[in-house]
Amino acid sequence: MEEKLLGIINQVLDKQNARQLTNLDGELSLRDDLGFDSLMLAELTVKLEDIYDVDIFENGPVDKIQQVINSLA
Amino acid sequence: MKNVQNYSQMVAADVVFEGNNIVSEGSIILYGTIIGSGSVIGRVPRKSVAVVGDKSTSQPTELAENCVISSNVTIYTGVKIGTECLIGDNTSILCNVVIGERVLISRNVTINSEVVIGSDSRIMDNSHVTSRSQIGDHVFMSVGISSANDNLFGKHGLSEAVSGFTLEDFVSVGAGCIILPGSIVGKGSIVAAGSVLKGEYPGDSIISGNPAKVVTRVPRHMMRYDRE
Repeated sequence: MEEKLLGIINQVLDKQNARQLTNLDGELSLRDDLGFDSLMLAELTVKLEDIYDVDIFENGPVDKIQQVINSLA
Repeated sequence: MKNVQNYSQMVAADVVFEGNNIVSEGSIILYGTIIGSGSVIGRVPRKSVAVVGDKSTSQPTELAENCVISSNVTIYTGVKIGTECLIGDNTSILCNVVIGERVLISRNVTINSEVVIGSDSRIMDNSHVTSRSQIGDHVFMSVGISSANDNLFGKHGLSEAVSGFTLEDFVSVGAGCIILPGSIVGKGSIVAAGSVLKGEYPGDSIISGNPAKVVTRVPRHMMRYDRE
């Protein structure tokens, strides 16, 4: 699952010509470390929703990669 | 000194006038409504060769029960406003506009003629709604939104080609957007701040950019209505 998540995050980053991630660090912040804005977060959420049928924000704010992993588990 | 010039016989007994108000003949104001200081109800537009298109109407202006009209609001003839609406300070509403129930129109909003606004919608400060626009129910328009209805800048007057925008139910438009003539946004879509809308957009989409394009669909947690 983590490999798939890494690929999806990189797809969103790639659209913004942002630097790709080589591995998932649970402590990384989507906003502060990876530069996700609200549009990128929406895109990520929809991509994950399509695969896992889970909206990662359904139970409140999510920012760290580990929180994303936890919400998909 | 209140200085209320009420030329209408159809104003409910408990309507509160805060002062310096004019109510034109034939205007209807129902129970529980408050008219803020300096506001004018049922204003007849002055004819002028400078004005493109005749916006005048013989229809009265009607304010339903429990509306709050704030200060220095000008509402022209032929405007119908539903129950429990709030119209903010300095807002101006031109002729033949129909507004549903529980609508909030904030301060310094200008609404041109022949606009329809559904119930439970909100238009925030300093926005402009161009004439012949259609705004659905539960629509949210943020601050500083501009809109236009004529790609030829009035060359042929108020012809059939002049077309406002359409926002279907539950659409949200972010701050500072520009809505170009004839744009249509489908139900439940969200438009990012600063976008320039041009053309037709599907429902349940997140839209952004100049010209605005669909970025993705609206995630479940951001939906304002039940998609089922």
